[in-house]
Amino acid sequence: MKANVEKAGAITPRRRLGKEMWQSRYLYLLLLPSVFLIGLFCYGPLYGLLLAFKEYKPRLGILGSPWVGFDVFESVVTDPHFWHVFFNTIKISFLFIVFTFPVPILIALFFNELRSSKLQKTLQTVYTFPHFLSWVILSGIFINFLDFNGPVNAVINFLGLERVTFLGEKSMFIPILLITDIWKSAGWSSIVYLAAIAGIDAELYEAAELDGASRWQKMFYITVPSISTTISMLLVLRIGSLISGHFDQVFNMQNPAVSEVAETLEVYIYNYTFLQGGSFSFTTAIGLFTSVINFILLTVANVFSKKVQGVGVLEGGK
Amino acid sequence: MKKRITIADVIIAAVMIAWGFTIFYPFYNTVLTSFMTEAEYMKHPFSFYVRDITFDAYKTIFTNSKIPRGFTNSLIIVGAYTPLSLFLTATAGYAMSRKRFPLRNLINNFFVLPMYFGGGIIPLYILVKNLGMLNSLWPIILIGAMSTYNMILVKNYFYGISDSLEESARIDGANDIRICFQIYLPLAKPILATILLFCVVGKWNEWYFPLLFITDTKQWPLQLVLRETINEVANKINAGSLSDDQLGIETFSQSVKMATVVVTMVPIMCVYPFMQRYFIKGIMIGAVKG
Repeated sequence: MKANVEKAGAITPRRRLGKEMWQSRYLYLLLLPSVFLIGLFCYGPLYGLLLAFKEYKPRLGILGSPWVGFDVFESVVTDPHFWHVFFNTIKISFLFIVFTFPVPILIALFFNELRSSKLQKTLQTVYTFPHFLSWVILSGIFINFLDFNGPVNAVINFLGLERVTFLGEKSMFIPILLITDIWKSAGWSSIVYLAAIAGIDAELYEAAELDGASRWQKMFYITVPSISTTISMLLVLRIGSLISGHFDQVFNMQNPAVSEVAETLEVYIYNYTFLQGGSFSFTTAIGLFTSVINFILLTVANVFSKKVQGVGVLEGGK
Repeated sequence: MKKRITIADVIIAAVMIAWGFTIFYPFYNTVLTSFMTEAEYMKHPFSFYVRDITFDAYKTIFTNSKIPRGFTNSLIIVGAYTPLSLFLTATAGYAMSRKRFPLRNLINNFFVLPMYFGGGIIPLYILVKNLGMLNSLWPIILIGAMSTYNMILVKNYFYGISDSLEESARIDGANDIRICFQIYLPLAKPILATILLFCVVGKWNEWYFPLLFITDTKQWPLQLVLRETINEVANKINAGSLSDDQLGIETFSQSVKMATVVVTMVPIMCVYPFMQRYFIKGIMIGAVKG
């Protein structure tokens, strides 16, 4: 088919393009519904971003509302509460990277040391299960579990200590987020590392054994270095999502008593617009601000990822 | 090379089993609580069995219409979304796996760009409102039905299939649509099964878009009904809007909440044994091919 086109050397490039497009018409037909939906729901909202530069009047619509230039952004960046929420978001993400990121690596390393494959299978079933449940379900479970009269406090009481109002204490909210996130996701996240470990050449271990290496020496000098590319890849991905994320968890675990430490940008956008009836322009501007920072972070992550692995973080190769 | 079991082996196994128990127990306790009377729960919140089993909590949630209705809504959403999403990702995945056709790179960028940059939640809300889709299941079913991430999984899968299949079909006079549906898609069953499970679980767990777009509680999926059941007390204090009557649940004890959690979890627990294998495969494909 391609050869045919090339043989007919007389036709102009333009007609050739037209012919190629006509030959691909069924491909375009297959793509049409997807292009339509992506266009509508991913590109459609971009038009709504105009609101960040307008004073939104629902009756006038997006186009009819008056332009105000950067006034909305000015009111965003001069709002002290916005900066409080902004730094809260970064603080939470940063603590997540520090405390939750290493756990799946440890789980994978020790999981790999288990001798019984039956035990491995059972444990993996248990470890990965919470990943498939929503934070709505899990917050229901934890709100019960950490209740003043709940099971954890029953144990604390049994040990002769004071009962704790876990979810009502500001100082405990972020640690609870970290622990429950590890509880939900660490087992699932460890699978990627286990896959990387499974790909290590067995001869390396055999050679090390002949040299008399201990279990720990093999772990630190063979396993860890072999999965370091995977580790750095996933770390780059996490840094790329520094400003977005944890919304489901924070939104469902929060309550008014801890909102001061629990409010992240996305939670704030929701609360301000839908609960307090705030201006759409204001939250659109915050959303745009977030999107721009996200875009920069993802682009940087992508450059790093291409350097480390030769593949971008999101395209998955061409 | 079989070796003796050392103390280190025992310690590692013990720690890993303890972690497994930490994950397992809250679920187990949730199920127990849903069968407990209030008196027993106050006495033994941390236990391993129920002394005095009662089905009152389940009777309560199944005799009021809220939860069966939420369950039905969730089933409708999953039932409509999953085939649509599979169709879109499979057809687009096949088309994008063809390496040479005009505008291919443009279309590829068109798909990938939204993964980097989006309009945010408020413009999306206004769009849905302008489309007249508020208070309907449509935005829940349509938004995200074309998942670029899943499309890339399909595309990468087709890269692994020899082009000679396509060429011989073309010589026989088949067009791209027939080649896609009759030759390539049947070969893609493993990856499509993985995506099917992604779709089912993802949509069953969806709660944020329904919260944004649906104010009519009769159209709420189960997740939102559960959310309101859990937050009932807090919401009453905050908004002063939701009464027991609106939620249709008379007794609000811990056991009713936990029974609702259990009912919401059951469908996931039912498909989990089948999907575990596929999900792990899916994440491997994602990990290997980026």
